[in-house]
Amino acid sequence: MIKARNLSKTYHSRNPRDWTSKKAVDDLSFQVETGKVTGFLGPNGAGKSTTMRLMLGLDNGQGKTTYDDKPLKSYANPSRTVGILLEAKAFHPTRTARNHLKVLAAAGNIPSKRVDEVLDIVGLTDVAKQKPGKFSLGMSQRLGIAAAILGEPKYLILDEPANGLDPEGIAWLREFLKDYAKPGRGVFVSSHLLSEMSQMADNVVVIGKGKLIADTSIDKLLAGSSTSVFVRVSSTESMVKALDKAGLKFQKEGRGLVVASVKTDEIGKLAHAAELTVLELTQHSASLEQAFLELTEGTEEFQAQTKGERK
Amino acid sequence: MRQSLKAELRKVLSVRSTYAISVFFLLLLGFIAFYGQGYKAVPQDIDQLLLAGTITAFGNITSVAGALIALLLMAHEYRYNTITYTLTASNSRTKVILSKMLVILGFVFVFSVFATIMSLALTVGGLAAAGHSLPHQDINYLVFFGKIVFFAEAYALAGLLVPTLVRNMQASVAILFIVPNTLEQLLGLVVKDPAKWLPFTALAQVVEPPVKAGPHGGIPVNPVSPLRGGITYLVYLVAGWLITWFFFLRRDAN
Repeated sequence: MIKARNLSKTYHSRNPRDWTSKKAVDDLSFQVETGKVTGFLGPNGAGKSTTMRLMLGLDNGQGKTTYDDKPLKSYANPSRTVGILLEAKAFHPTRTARNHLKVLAAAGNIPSKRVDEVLDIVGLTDVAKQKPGKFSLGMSQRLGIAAAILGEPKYLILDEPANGLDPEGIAWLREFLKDYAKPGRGVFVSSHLLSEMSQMADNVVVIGKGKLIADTSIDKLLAGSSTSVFVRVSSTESMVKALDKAGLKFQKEGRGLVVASVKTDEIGKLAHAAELTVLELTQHSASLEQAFLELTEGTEEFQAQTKGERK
Repeated sequence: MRQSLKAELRKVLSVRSTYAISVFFLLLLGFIAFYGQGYKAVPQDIDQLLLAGTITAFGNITSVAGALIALLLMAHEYRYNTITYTLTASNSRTKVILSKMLVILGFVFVFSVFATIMSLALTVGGLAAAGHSLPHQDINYLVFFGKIVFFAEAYALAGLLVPTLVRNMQASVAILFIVPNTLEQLLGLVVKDPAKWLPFTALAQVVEPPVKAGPHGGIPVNPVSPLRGGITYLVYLVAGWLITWFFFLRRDAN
């Protein structure tokens, strides 16, 4: 298990007119369980990449991260304990894909024959002798994934690995990571593709402005988020009166009403009490996207204006 | 440590720039040795100190090649962000630095010995091609090679130091060439004995020929001895590396 404890990182302004400091990561603690894929979510600028760098000892900050109760530095070959993908294009553009991996294999005391195996796994065998400088983002991501799994590490820490992958590549990645985690290994992966994350991850860690918002399973996260009910009855007007009386929030949608934060049972009983015939009654479960937006509301570092907000 | 060394060696040997720089400087050295020092040698200069006099030219050229390769070994890590892989694959940042140093020292040793042997042979070949005969040379080949290797190694370690500290390729190249060639020249105008106090001026004394042939024997030309020059430079180099090592351990990876 990866245990991250009290991770903190403060950036100090170098502007002599503004000596302010900003906490990029603020006392963050969570864990990545083995046998599971743990998603890492947060708005842009929430501190996800900084957190991953702190976990790997790449950035100096406060707190500590252990891998099976030992710090990464205590392992003779850290790349056999944790495989990383922090940036897709982290390679020398004129060193061939195979040589790039051979350098990493040498650094991790990994047999060179493993290089061809991982190239095959990620589907880059045909371009192994090519220089990756002209690789597309998707091919670069595949090379980065090959580098991460080179030492067959127990843990993977991947920052946005699906960026630039085509739909087939995303589907492959999803299945690959789920399979990778199954035999007692742990995968910690950040992504903005929330629909993908909901299909891939077992647990999620959600952060906003560097602080922990949630560390839970996907199921619990969705269960805790608001659900709504769509209802269509014989008289919409009477139903509106009944909902107002019950103090429920709703809005019109087509010929029916969408009622927030309720279950179908409640609406069914209200309609029955108002002597209305129910024509349609559907529970709308929250998507991970809804849950994410609810959780991170107000923690966005950068936010686009909607049309109505623009002056 | 062994795997770090292997990885760093692979890094040096698997990029185009290493071969491009090596070939370019070997061709330059070969041309200067064969044509400049050998074929076009003035008959009056062909004396028992001729080969000893080539040491400065050979030393300067081999050292620039080694320093550039050393610089790129570290600068590329920051430019292409491969430093994240390098640092997470090793359990000690000190090991990373030491591996890079040892690999560069080894590479520069092989390169400078090969380049010097090639240059001496081409100088003799150039003289022969022009119909000159080389008189017996008053030269201690061990000292000759030792000085060139020391000069090249010392310059290469500076080439590795600068990008480790500044983490920017363009700035590193500029610093590596501006400091010895421009900044020290200017400082030399205000410092009383530049060869005693300025690092690269001191280092140059290592490969300056100790004597110049004159009508009545050798005339000493070095303001300080090669040993003194080498030690002065090493003091700067060690101090520079201690500062660089301190920051390398404590700063964020990139």
